[in-house]
Amino acid sequence: MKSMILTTLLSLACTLPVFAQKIVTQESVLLQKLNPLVLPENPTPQQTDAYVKEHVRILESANNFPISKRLAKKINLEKRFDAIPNRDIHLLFEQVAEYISVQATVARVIEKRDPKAYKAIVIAGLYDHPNNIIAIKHHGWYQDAKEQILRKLEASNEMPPLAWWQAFTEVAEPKHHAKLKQLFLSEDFFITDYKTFLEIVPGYDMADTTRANVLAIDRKIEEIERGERFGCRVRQRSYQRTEMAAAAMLGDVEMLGRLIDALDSLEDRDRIWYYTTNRIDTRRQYVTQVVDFKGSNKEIREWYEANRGKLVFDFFTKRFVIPEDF
Amino acid sequence: MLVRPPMAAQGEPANNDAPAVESDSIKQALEEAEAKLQEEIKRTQTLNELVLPENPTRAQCESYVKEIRRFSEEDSSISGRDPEIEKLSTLPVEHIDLLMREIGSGVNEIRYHAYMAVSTYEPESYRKLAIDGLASESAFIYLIARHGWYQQAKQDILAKFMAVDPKVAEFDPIWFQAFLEVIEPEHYPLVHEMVLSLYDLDNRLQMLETLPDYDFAKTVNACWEKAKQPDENGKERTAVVLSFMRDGNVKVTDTLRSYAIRAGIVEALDPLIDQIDPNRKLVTGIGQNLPARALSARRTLRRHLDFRGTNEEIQTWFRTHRDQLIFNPITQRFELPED
Repeated sequence: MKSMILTTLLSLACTLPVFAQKIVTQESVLLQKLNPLVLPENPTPQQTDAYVKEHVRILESANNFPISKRLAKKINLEKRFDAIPNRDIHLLFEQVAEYISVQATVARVIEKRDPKAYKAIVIAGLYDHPNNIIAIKHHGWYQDAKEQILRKLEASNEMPPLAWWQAFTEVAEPKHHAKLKQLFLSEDFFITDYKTFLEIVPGYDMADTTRANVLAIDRKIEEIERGERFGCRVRQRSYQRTEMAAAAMLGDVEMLGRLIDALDSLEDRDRIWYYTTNRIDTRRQYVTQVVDFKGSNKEIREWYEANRGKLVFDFFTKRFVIPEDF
Repeated sequence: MLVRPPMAAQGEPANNDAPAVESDSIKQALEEAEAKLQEEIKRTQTLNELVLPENPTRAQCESYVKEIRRFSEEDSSISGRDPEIEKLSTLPVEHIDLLMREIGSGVNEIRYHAYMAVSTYEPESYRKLAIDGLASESAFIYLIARHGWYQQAKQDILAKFMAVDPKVAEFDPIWFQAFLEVIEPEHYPLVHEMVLSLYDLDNRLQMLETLPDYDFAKTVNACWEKAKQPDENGKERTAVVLSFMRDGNVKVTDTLRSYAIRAGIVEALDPLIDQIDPNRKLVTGIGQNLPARALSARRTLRRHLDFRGTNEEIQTWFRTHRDQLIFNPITQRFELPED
């Protein structure tokens, strides 16, 4: 027994220095590289920029995953970033948005500062430093930054990241609705998240955009079929159906017709099979929630064909009805 | 016991061994794949040789289907291009009941092949069989759903729902959908109780919302109250507010919460107000540099609160007026009373 304990202790004693040596090495290597970097008093913007970039370069090359709190403390990382003046705070927001290794540390550096001290700086630099949007989003300063955000909106040609899209929808005026629609339709992928933000724009014509989106997907599917575009038709169609349903629920009688046509399509006749795995038959669901008629798919189609000219959307019950005068 | 690993033990022999072992295992894998392929080719050939004679008798049809079932069961993967489907669809239409019988069998593969084969026939040829057989064979619900023949099968669907205990009410969403298709106002209390079982809640609320003349807000209120209570084992009911994926691309989080907000339950907004706190952490985890949840919290608040401002202002306004707020179902906003 005694000898066993002795052996254990002995082997522990042999192992420890190796581990310790390793950690010390990692730290000291980092410190060796970081220590020469010193920010002069009253630095110029160029000096701060170089200072931060060099830090990130060294730390990212050491590890492209978050630096542990312990290591950050040992190499005094927080203090190093504390030296950056509020004037150059956009550099910090850039690190939070783009560099995982220093993200958490830099976030703590920002959290320590008084928002009132950097609010004006962040807003003034918003156009040139898009990552400043993190601060705008965090505090909800959309109205204060309205001018800068609208400037960005007017200059945009493609769908921005979600945070910027939210900013656009928060401050858009009626004259910007066309621009929002153009950006929304320019996007290739299924952007349901983006669409929900359009709901908070006062007076925005959702029905128009939804319909335009359905037609845009028609074109995309054609391009896929011709081999001019990379994509999956089935997924595009599935997304298109949700958009058709949304259009129908906003009173679009033609989109209702297309939705009814989609009730039976041979191309995916085995779809019911998927409903055995805990799903619902969304196609039928989409139709029955806006149509006041009970019947089989075939009967619904016949009913639609017969009454299509008479159908009126009742915005109160959110259903298509045939008015009594007919 | 701690033992230090040998530090420099990788000599040349180890390096020489490695490629030899690798090429051996590749050879073996290739041989296995080759054998599998041969087996598959043989199987397909045998299946191709299986042909139904012209004007087959009932007995011939039966043995034909039986043979295909044997093939189908040997291969557990299923796809729309399986040769079994084409083989089964050559059956004369007057013997389609044999395919229907296979749909009713509990075996996954042949059920799928038979279902796909049946889909190639005229719907009228199996309509009566599906509707009449529903009472004894619940798998026919998929055929009913595919064509929307709910009204014709109304009695059987209703009978099934009358028989279950609404407090448990565990069945597939497709059955619940069928029930809502044939429901009469006298069944509304039953539906209320079934949804209140909290089983498959997200799906069920989604379906129930569209039922005309139904007091949806009442059911949501009851579910909200029940979900807050601990379950029979004294544990928090987290499952009912978990997120789930719908349609592959729409992510619905906290479904019950969003229904609760739209039913005018002001309490459901409380956690969203906490989520937009300006003193919260700027970054809460890896890769969350622009956290979607915080975004959606502000979006939801903007959508349902009659107030504009910074996060701090929204928080202050909400906390001051929380108990006075009245929900306007038309605008879907919580508003302050005019006086």
